[in-house]
Amino acid sequence: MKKLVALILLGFTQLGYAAIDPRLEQVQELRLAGNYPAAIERVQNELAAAPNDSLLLNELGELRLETGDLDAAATRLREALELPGAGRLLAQLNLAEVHRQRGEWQQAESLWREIRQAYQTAPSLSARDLFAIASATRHLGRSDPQLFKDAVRLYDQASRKDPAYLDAGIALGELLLEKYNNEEASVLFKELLTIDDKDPRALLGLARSQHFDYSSEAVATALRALSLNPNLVPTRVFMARLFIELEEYGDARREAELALEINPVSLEALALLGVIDHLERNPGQFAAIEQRVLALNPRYADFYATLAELVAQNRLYRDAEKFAQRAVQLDPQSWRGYGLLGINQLRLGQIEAGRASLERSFAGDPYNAWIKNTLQLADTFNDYVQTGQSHFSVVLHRDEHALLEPYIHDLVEQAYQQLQKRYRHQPDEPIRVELYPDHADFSVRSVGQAGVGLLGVCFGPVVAMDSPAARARGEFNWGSTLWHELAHVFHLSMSGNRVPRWFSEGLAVYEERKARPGWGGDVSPDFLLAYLDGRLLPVSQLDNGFVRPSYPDQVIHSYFQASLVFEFIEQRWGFDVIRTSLNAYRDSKDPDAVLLQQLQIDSAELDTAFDDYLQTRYATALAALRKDADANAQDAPTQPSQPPNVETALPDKYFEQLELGQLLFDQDQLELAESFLQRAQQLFPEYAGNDSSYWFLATLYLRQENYAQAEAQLEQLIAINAEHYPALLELAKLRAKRGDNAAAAAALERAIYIYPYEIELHQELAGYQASLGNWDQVARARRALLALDPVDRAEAFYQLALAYERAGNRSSAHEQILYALEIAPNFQRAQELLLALRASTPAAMELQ
Amino acid sequence: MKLCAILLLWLGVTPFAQALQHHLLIINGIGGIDAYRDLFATRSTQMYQSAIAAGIDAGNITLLSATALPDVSQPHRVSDKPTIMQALQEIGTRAQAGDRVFVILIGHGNPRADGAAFNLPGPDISAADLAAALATLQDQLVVVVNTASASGPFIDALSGDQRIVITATSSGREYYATLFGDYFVAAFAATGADTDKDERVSMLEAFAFARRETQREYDKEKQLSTEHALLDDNGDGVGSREPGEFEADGALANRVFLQQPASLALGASAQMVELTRRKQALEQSISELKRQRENLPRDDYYARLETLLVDLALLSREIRALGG
Repeated sequence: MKKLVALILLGFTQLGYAAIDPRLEQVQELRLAGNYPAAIERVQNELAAAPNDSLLLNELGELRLETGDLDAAATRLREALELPGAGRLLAQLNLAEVHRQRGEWQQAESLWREIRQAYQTAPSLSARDLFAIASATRHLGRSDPQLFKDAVRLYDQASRKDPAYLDAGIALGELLLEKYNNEEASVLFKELLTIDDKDPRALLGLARSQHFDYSSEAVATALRALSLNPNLVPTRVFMARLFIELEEYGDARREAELALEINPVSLEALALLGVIDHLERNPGQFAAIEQRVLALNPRYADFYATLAELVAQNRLYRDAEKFAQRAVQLDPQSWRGYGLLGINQLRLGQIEAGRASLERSFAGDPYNAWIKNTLQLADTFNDYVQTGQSHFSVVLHRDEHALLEPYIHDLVEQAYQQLQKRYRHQPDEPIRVELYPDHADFSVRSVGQAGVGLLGVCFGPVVAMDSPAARARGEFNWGSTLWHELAHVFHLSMSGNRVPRWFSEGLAVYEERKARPGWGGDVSPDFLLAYLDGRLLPVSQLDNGFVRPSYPDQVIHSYFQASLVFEFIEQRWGFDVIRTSLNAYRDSKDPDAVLLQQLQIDSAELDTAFDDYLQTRYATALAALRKDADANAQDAPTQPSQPPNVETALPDKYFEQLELGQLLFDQDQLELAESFLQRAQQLFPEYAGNDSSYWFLATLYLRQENYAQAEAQLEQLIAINAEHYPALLELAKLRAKRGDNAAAAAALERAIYIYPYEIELHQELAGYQASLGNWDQVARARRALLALDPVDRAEAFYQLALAYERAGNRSSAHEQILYALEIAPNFQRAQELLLALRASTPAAMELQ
Repeated sequence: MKLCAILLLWLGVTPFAQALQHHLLIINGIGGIDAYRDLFATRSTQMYQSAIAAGIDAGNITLLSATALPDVSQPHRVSDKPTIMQALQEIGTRAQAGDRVFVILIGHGNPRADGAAFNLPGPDISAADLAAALATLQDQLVVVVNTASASGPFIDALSGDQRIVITATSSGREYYATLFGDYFVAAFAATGADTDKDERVSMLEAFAFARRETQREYDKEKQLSTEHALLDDNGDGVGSREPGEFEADGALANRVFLQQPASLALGASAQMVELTRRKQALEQSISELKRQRENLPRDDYYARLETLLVDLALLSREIRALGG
């Protein structure tokens, strides 16, 4: 395919003549500018002089088609077909389009087949003829996907025949894009624009291609297309879709209505109006649109497919599934419908049904990358182990099931109990929790392709996320991520999936912080600097920070800011208002008003009140950072020529203090470093990131063998930032050093939520728990250790058997000791334990 | 007495005051940079110390090094090619029939048109050079462990009857510095490698330990492994990544230990001999049963296994009570 596109592009650049009928040249210009009435008038004038000109009749039919007068279009096109002359194939293609838009598939298909036959029978074929054959072939691909390849080849031939005839290139670009080959589509559209940078259709193609890549340039490109042709219906439809995705339903409606002013029977525009009415809870208007669409085309499955696609983007997965069902009921060849049905069934945890729907979609259209990727992922589901628990169904890769399952089991149940009590709500069960050890698999599960920058996703009753193996050590805390997603399960369930994104995300982060100290993100200098720069959004506009970020870190800042909003609300109004709001979103037609009604405050007041809260909460840090910012003193300090004095060297500037402290620490001037680092900590005590003063001070005190101070620093660090794996390990050692093995074990338990793959971690944990006589906990640690496949498996089985024996679980102890001796029959300690177990006498302990 | 001698031979111990001897040649190659010079020196020193701890006579250990080894009291010569050839000749002269010769190469290697070479001060030593030098050791069991990068081709050149060849990489294309050597040496110094709990570390156990810990290190760093160790002990010239007692490779390596076999005084009691015979028979039965595992119902297999294990445990108690 790549080669083919390259050849097409070569063709475009080699030749440059236009083979347009001179009489139609001006019409074409008017059409491209969107001046349809003038274009129609011009053709009619030409027709008055030459009433039997099939080319002119086709042109008029095409203009009528474009402006939604299907009857008039059909009449003109049939007249054209009665006459001899050029352009017959294009007229047939246009007439087939009329039938297609009316849902008259048989008539349309019959014409497409006829057009296709011309490839064999016609004595010579122009570029337009070839374009017509390519387009007919593309349509027939719906029944035979192999024909898409033919269509590509034929568009290529058309382009070679007349490189200035851009329709073929544009159609090919659209086909490539439709089949998820954006890499080539993008190249093609850009190349077409080098031939004519004012072709609004090529610009629209480029905008679509940019949108495919999530590029923010898509809007600007589409607006440029609109500036050249404000009446191009597909561009208006594209803009309406963009606005729906941005949850700007008013603007979306305006765009769809503008499209309908040009073409009142545009099914695509009507479908988008249907989407908007559904999202805005206008059931009456939705029914009217639905009726209107089905009256125009009783088999227009894409109406429901479009609904399924776009309401799913607003997290209404059950609605999406229902719409997709209707799409495939209406048209059993709606491969798009089957694809959307399958994707949404999978999102709802209907794995087998979802897979069957996807397979049906793939059989009809094997070029949809999302479907293909998801089916490939589904093929690996046999490698996963599913275990049922009281409220959950947990799905883990078999390689990490034994390791993670016990920890997940405890965590999800704990989260469920806590959240159920807090929200006074029981979501539908079982809640399906899937963890993927390969980030690409999680990404496909989430968005159908690799590369998504998320850690977890909640579809309502289904949570999917990265397992700790999917990321480098310390990159994320999988325990808090899981808790976050489970909070979403409650939010979505209570609100019928209608909760705004900022609300649900902020609340979920806040729930992480409620779950464990140090979970759920913490304040960073970046965040407060963004506040000082005025880049943080007011609460009333916070959703924009999630769906329309305007600077690279805005999404991250918005998560944290939104979590502070809920911290503030709970402190001032109590949790009831949050709970009541969630329930109110279910039926509200005005989501922006829901929270304000509960708080009995207007939007501006909330913005101001929160701003005050933030300023007060971080007053010290803000003051220090403001001085840093004012002095523009963020450049790394150079090596001081003389030892600096903490009292005189920029005493109120956070970055200066921190960086001088770090510099002196690196130079091993520990005493001097300590004073700077402590000063930095006083200036910004809430910051405990990896480059904060806490870790440096802890390390400094360790070097000085000041263990109490080191421990105090680490305690403070993990109370804010529990994602610091080395801090937790070090803290465990220090706690154990002063004999507090329970606290040491607690630190290691928390480290498991960051990185559970280190044998030593479980070994130490087992040791601490054994010293406390917590034999069930020892057994859990020993099981985890075994799951990590240690070299000395006989010893690992023996230690597990011993833990079971001590916990009073003799049958498990018996089983494990046989495994140990199976590997090492002469293992003396295991032999003795076996004999003791058979004699029912307590075994002598020899714990490692 | 003849029966007793045959039995003890079969058990892997020698019924004479002087047991078969182990001869060890450690070759510490060039490191190139300080970090590797230090690393290889540490590995070589550890290997030497493990050999001493394993009971190998210091006089049977030859240490050749490109750098000074400050923690080793024994004098060592430079590890250039002529010295290696000379050292192997000396071992060949010294070794008796049935003795075991261990050659451990610690350093860097590189692929060559004729296979691979181990990097030395002066000319490198190729796999073919080493094969030629070892050809004289026809009556001894020879173990060669090449922990260097690009060491895979050494299997081709050295594989043979009564030979165990271990390489850190599977081919000459794996030419990045390896981690395998660290863990292979550690297998004899640390706990954890003695997986069958017989208080000795076999070549198979050391290999398995090193292979798994090396892989764990790459996994931990989320890096693609650039080394895949091999073991060949069936003489077919094809190394196995996962050798085992019952696999194509591994049976011989499972029976060969770094530890110098304990010499057993003549005159062991008849009771001890009998108990030892019964113990070996039980071990053999357990081994046979494990071979049949796939063909037996799970419960049946473990019931039969337990019976044998209990007998073995009780018998072991008796042997220990007799001071065995």
